[in-house]
Amino acid sequence: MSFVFKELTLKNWRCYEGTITINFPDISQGRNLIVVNGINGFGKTSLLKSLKFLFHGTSKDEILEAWNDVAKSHGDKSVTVSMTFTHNKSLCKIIREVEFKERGNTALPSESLTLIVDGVERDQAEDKISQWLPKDVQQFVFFDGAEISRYAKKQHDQGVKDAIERVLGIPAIRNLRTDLSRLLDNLEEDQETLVGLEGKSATLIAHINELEALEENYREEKETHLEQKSGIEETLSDLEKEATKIEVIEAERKALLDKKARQSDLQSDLDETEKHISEHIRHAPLYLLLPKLRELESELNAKVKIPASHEKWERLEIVYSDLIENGEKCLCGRELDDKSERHLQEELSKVRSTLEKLKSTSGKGGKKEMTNKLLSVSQIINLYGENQNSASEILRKRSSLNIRLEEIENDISDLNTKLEGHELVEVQELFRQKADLRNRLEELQESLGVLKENMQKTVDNLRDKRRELDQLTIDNAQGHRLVQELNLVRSSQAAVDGLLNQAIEERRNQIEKLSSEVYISITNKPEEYSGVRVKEDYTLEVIRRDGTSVDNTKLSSGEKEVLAYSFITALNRSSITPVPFVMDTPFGHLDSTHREKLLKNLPSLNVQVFLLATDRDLPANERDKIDDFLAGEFEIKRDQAAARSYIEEIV
Amino acid sequence: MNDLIKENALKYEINSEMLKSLINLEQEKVHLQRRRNVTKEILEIIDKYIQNK
Repeated sequence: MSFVFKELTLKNWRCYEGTITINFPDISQGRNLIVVNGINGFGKTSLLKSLKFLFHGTSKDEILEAWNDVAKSHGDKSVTVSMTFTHNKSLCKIIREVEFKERGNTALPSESLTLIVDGVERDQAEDKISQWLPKDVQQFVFFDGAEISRYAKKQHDQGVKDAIERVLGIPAIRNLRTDLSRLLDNLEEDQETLVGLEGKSATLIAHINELEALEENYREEKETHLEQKSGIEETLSDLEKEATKIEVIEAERKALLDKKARQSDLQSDLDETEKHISEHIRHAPLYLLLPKLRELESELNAKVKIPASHEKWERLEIVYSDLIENGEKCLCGRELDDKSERHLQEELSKVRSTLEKLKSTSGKGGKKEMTNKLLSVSQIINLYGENQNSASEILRKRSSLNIRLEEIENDISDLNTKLEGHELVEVQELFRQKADLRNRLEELQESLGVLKENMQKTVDNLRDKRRELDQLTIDNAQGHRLVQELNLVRSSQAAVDGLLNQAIEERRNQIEKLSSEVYISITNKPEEYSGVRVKEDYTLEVIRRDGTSVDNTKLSSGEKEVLAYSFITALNRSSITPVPFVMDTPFGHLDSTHREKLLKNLPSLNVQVFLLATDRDLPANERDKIDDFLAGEFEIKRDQAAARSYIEEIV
Repeated sequence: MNDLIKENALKYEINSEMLKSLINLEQEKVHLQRRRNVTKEILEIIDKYIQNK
């Protein structure tokens, strides 16, 4: 670890009256967490502010505010913050002290800064400290947890972007490119002076100057083209997003039409059902008569049925007729004689006469008429009996149709709301704009191609002319070294050009990879999200598993904190000079799951991590979760009678 | 970063240690508002390399 805080001393700093000293415990791999507990108003934020003041000072108004009231009333006119720490194996100490001098009724602060490295006081302390921890980088290492979510904004301001690049060590490479270019100009001026502005060299220099001007024009033109191209690409990308939304809207418009057609079908069905129901209502009296009709039917059935007595006489008639007509033997097997036959004939006549009598008395109107009546009654019963069953079905159908119609009406209403303000014309206009932009992009691309070709020719030409000039320079006795320098500066410039683009890309990729790892390990939705994208301007996007991005404004406050935390820790791990991480009330919006996962992630930071926590940040029932990586713990206490805060180590 | 420095130094046929020294020089001065004499110091590093070549 390049930076390790060892001891912090505060004197009359805000709520800490007198001198207090905190000795931070040694940390080891995986055990890097130092917790300072304190309830609201006891002095956690004052500790955070003391670190900011120590490294980078503060305004006159703020230092007057930071002067402890009790000390002020006792006439103690100095405020001091000092820190002992190790930096790259050196033992360092920074002492920032303010003395207040009275002038009339006002106190004028006079600030001094001392830097001691390995026991030796160093001059230019402010510069040295800024080199270790640039002021604009402070926001990523000493921060208020409540403000962390600002790093999950859709757009960073230039200050934040510069600070991020500073952490990543990009400005040094950018400055080198500028300085090499300046050096090259100086050397080329020297070369012109050396070869003289006469004869061949004068012609060459004039030519080189012309080519340089031409190259500059091409470069400017190319930059304008690239800016336009990037603008068009951005607009196209916005239009694509708009088109995606519109495609959804179009699908909804189609769904609306389908629903309306379905609504019309259902309405016709319902109308038809209502007709059937009216019909049923018209025949309602007949349904009431059904029980009576059923009684009548059974009466008629009884009358139409042939009585058992008839059957007996009919069987006798058949037996006697068979004996007379075909039989030669009696029932007992004896042959029939004439007497027997006559007796049979008489008996047959009696049977027939009885049958006649029985048939004539079996009902008025006769059997046929009664059978016809029975048939009619049965038909009516069958018809209305069936209809009575279908009536309940029709009622059920009407109820179901009404429910379906209501559902479809709700769907239609929802779809109408969604489609409000989206006209068909808008869609056509959007696609026209897209086509226009694509054409413009193609034209630009073509123009850029020609431009690059011309530029390359100019650059080649320029290089040849410079070589010729270099040759003339070498011919001069003093020119040999100059040409060597020129060549080396030119090559270095080209190398730095390549390095700058690659370094930015590499650093961004590294932050993206680290941010994604941290985010996925902390988020409550690891199956929904695949990681974090760090865009060119270092703004962040959460990426879903299907590759689409989540609009940052749609993330919850807790999710924004997790995203920002992922980014800041990734930045810390990618930093060229990692420094301790100090978070004041860090878990403002986090639920217990997020908090637990974030705490588990802290040991992965290869620096000291200070948590200035309330009991909400680290509830008593979750304390055991930090035991494995806790290096030390302190508590801010308050002597309320003396109005002073002090810090005690919890052993 | 070291790999990138080596890669670009090799590509443009310059010494990677020299390139690293130039970057370190700028790194030391990056926090300064005015980087006085920096071109002079760059040239000194380059001259040193030319002498040692």
